[in-house]
Amino acid sequence: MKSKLLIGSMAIGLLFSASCTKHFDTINENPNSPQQVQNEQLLLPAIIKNSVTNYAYVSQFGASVVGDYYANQYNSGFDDAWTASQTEGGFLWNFYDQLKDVENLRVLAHKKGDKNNEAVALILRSWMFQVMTDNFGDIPYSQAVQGKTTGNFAPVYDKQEDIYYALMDSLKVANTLLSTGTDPINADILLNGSTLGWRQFANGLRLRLLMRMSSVAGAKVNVGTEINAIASDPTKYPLFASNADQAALQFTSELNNEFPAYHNNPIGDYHLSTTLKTNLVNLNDPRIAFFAMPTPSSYGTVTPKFGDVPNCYGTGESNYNGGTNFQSQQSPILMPYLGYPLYASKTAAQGILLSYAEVQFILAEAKERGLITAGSDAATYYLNGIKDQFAYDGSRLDILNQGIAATDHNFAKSADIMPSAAYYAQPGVAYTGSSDQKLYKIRIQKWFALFYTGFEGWSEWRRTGVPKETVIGPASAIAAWPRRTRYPLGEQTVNTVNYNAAINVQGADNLLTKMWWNK
Amino acid sequence: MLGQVVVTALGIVQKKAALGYATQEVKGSTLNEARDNNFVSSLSGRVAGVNIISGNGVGGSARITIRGESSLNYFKNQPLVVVDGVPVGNDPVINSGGGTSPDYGSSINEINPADIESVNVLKGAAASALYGSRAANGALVITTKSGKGNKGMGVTFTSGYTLENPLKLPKFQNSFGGGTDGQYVGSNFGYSNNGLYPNGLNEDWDESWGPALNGQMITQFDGPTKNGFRGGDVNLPNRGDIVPTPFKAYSNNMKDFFVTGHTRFNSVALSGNNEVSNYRFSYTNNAQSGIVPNNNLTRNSFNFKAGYKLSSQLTADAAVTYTNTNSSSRPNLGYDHGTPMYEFVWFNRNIDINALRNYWQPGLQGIQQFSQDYGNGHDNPFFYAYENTSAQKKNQLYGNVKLTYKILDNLTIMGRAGTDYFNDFRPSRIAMSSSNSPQGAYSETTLSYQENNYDLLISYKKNIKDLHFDLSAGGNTMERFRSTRNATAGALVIPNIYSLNNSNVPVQNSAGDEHRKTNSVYAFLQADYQGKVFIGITGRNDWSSTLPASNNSYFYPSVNSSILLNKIFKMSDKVDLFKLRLAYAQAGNDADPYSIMTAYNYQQLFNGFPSLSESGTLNNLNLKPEKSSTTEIGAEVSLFQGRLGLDITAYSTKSKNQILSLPTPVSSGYRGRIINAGEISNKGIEVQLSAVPIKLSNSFTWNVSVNFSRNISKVVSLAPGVDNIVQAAPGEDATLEARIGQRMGALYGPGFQRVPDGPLKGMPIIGSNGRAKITPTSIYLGNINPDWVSGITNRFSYKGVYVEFLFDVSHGGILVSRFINKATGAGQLEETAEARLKHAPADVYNKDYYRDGGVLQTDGSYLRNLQVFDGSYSKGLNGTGPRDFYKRWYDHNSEQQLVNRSFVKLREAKIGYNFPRKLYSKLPIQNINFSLVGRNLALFTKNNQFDPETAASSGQGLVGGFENLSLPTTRSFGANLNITF
Repeated sequence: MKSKLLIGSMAIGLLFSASCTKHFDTINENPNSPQQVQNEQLLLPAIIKNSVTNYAYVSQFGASVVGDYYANQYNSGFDDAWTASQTEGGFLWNFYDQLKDVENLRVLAHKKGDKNNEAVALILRSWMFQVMTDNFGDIPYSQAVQGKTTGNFAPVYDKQEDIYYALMDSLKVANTLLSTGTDPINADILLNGSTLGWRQFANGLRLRLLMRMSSVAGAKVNVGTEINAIASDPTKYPLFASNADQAALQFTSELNNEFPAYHNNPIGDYHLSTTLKTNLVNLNDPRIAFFAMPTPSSYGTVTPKFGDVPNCYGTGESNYNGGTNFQSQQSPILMPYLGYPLYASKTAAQGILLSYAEVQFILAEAKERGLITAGSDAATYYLNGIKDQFAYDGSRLDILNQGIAATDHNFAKSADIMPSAAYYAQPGVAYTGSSDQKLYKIRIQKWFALFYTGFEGWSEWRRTGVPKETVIGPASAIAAWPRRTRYPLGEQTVNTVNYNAAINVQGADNLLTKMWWNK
Repeated sequence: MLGQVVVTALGIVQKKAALGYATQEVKGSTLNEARDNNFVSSLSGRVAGVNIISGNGVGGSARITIRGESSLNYFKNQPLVVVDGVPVGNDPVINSGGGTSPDYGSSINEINPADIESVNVLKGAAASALYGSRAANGALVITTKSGKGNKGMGVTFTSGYTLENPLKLPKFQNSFGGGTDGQYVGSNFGYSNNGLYPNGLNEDWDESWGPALNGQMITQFDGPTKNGFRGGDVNLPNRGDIVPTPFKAYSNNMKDFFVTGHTRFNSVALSGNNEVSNYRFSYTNNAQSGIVPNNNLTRNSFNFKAGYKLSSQLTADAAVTYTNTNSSSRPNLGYDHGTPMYEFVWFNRNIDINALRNYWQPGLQGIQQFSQDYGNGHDNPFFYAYENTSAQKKNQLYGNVKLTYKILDNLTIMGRAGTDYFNDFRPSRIAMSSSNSPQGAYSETTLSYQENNYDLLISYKKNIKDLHFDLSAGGNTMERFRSTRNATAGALVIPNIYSLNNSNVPVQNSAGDEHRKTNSVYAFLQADYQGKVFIGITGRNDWSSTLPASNNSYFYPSVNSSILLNKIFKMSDKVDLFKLRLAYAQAGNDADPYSIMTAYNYQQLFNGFPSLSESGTLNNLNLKPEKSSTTEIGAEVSLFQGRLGLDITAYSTKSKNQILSLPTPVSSGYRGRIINAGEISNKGIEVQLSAVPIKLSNSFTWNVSVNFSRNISKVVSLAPGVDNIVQAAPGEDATLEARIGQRMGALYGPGFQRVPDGPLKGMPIIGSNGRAKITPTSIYLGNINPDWVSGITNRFSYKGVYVEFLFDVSHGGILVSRFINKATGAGQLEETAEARLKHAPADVYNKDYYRDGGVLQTDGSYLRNLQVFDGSYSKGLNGTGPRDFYKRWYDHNSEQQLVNRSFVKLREAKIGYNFPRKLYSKLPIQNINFSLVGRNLALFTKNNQFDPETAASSGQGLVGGFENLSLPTTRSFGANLNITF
């Protein structure tokens, strides 16, 4: 009897095991999402939107403080926002999230022989790595983003120097691929599928890298030669012709595709910095009305006023200059809907990756320093940069004003911020004086132009020391203005060996360690 | 007692004496005397080794763990719940949104305590081996009441009414009002820059660093205006100038927001029994309102259970329960706009909460709220409670049908089909002018869930001389479906119409479906020799759809033995029972569905372009089943005819090959990957002591029962190259981590940098800016889990009267509090007035304050920063203003945000009376019982801000050890009436 039972139960067992695992593979097929994407245009929009949204967001907040455009009592102590738990999002280490999709795009395009999309992937990748290495220094590059392909979940850190060389090579390759590629770049929300536009971006980005490393002694790349080659052959190395070409993402009016701080809280913690105000006032620069809101006390009056707060001021900041009624908040194009529902614009601010003006200022400096011989004279590049930047800033104000009844406010319009002839004639702007004086003028105008362009304003200060007025206030947790930011907590805890190795090479993981191009 | 039988795995009834593993039973009567509507909470303190955390509003979830945590996935440590042999209510907690959505509870909370006959707690894998992988963390085996045993028809009527209020609230200062640097003037209350009225002074400061509250006249949000409006009616063009009113403290402005909660519980049950059939039908109505205004819930439960003897060999049983739950709103939780506790962090001491009850601006009903502060994304808490509702309509049906065929006297075959199904509809409203969505919003989320189980079991009994065998074999098929649908109208066209049709932007949709299946075969053998030695052997093999084909079959055995020493050896007749237990079990476990292939997630359209982004968690084609093994030994002693009983169990569990999402550096392109890794060891001891110290002939009896348990878990290994895994972090900086060599429950976060040596060794280091220097990386802060817990019940009865007290004792553990952190930084809590009050009024905001600690000198030595010790903190080396003095001491410094979790709680108290029969002998009434009951009546703890049992809500369930703007826990008291006809 017992044996019969055993046989019976085993028979039941066999029945279950044989018949019922049959459909297991289909049961376990994810019905919600695909497991593969075979179409480049299904990857590109998310890469651009997600990365530029993060980038533009921090451009407005942390980057605007460390770039000394705005002051914020919470960020400018250089402690809270700079802790290892904050830097991943705050300093764009999270670009690695998008680099995963960039890598998928690159591999897919490469397999298909789609040169244009492969080049787009290389350019976006180079831009993200440039932003990250300039914030952190040495970072994972050669082994980065290979979790899926090689199973490497502990990428080593590469030296910034090597990353720079590799990025410049990638950008060269991208320019070449795009000059022969024939496949369309579909769903391109950044440059509208223009191969010329991507080449201009790639070459401009290479100029940014070259200029940033231009003072490094013993570099393996001859900066002058490289820039000269670009400047001398616009057919082979096309560059932006005006702000109409520049790499800037136009946000849309769609819900959650507005400029990224649109749904933010009121941004009363941020105020026009003393450094930015001083430099604008020194030059009688009318763009102060572009960079900042009128003070609350002068808001809506016929004579809007602009009040500043120094960074790292500390205790009593809210009473500085007579209190918050006399302190200007951020640019009117950056106002969020919350708190400013009548004026906030969804589309006035763009996510600027690389501007025409920046490229012109790079060429001006290269020429002024005698690094290159080709191209226009330095003054031409310099004036191109200034004029175009005024035009661009004005055009954004016009978009802001489109949706607002004129009687409700007194925001500047483009005409109000256009410089007079006297602006260009004044000694602080006219391209006159010693070479050092000219370089200073190029650099201060470049700093104005790099507003809301990621961390570029800060990077340029680190490279050139312009603007000069950047001082450290009493509330700072460190003794000098930061030179880099800390590696994120996640790296310290789950990539510990390589993190420690990187500190050994680069120096302490603090805010004052200088990076390769900044030594 | 010795003949006691218990319901074990698969609904099999066994003699307790035969069991070689620990189980502990709680009677339904215990759950119903001082009823908690979430029956899980009633187990607290009653069962050794069981740990419960619960909270957060009416109908909120509870977290139950048995014998500590053995899974690295913090949310996969809960036991399997089984009702009448069929798994019920094991759906994961799913909250609709991010960290600040309400706690919608889980199905297990909905099991009606009035229908429960008993809950048998199977504490470890040995006890629950036949349930297999799903019960690796133990099981709650619930048996519902049936009609068996009653002669004829019986009617039972139960009625209860209880009141509820907050158990403990933080202590606030009442000396300084809103503003900063001692100044405050109200004018537009933060509605600046585009408002009708000019700015006042510091009026958008949501912190109490303003003027002293001396009754001086100041323009305030609730001050009347010359045109008959209120100061805060800033959207009215004709508001008029504000008449100054006294600037004074409203010391109860948080307490007065809360209301008394009510619970009305009414249940009626009919039951009957004859030779061939039995039945029980019950209907229960449970209407509750919580301590947050507008938080209420109504639950109607229908339960029907019947058995019918179709022939001498064939019996049919069926049970079905239908529950309908309706809630008008549940409070949001967590650190964001609109959660009640978030608002009270930023609720200045001079705000009169009662002035906010009328929460619309006149003439702008539905369009513009009236608020204390428009400037920092704040909301009027009443506006939020009444207008921004998170409602719920849930219908749940579970039950089973069972056929038992007795082929021979000793051979039975049983077939059973069971299901657990629910549909949960969650409409969520956001009114226009809400700080986080000024144009309003409306969303609907529908969750549906179904789990079907089919079992076949053949049982055979045989006696061979002194040997007795029970042999059973069977199979199970389990299939589970889940789906989620969400549609959101991101802005409203017309105020106050909450329909997806009323959307001002394209409605956004999302959908998710899940399907899994497990097939199993199992067999077990129970044998005993002369009723003295018992042995049980089980084996089970599972095939799971969620694992790769090559690894989807796994087998696990168990063996247990019970030895009745008192029957083998001659012992004193004072010894009723002396039993030894031994058990060993293995359990396997599978993965979540779709853990094998990595998916691409749909992204929002941009300019009309669709796109996808690959998931940041890399899945794994080579997953294996998880494996855990448990050894336990125990002894049970009963003396003096049951007057003294002792039950001791020691256990050791090892869990290996855990399926988990291992964090990876994002520089690898992925934030995590699904792997098999890790080994967790749990060792512990459980003691139950029961005694009847006094039993007099006049029927006076004193019963004592004590439970004690101590569990020490240890992270033995993680994945190669990985020495810690963050399990949860529902707060600011602190993380709950598994680190090799540590106990589970380790809390990490930033803390003080401390003086390394010298006379000031160990003191915090103070920087040049007067603030503490905080460690750049996380340090070990302590463990959230208690070292030991104990429950002590005393019951006195005399004739019809009984009195019972249950104390819960928990020793050790820490909790990190975000409310204390933020509300200290915002100048609201009591502590923040102490140093200010030691200053002359003119100096409060004009002098620096100095923290005690060490200041680094150029020669490497440290000098003491603070130089006066009168509580004024007014003299020292490096100082800072009062706000930074407090804020920078706490903010992003987890170490300063800790509170001790040890406590003693009067968990239950009740006094009851069974009315003597003679009072109603002429009525068809069999029994009348009336009792006064209370739960969580008193709390003794060192921390004076919070109940240390406060838990944080997260999207996947509660997390202990974190207070993340959670609701205060509550005490309740009321009366119960039971009439049996």
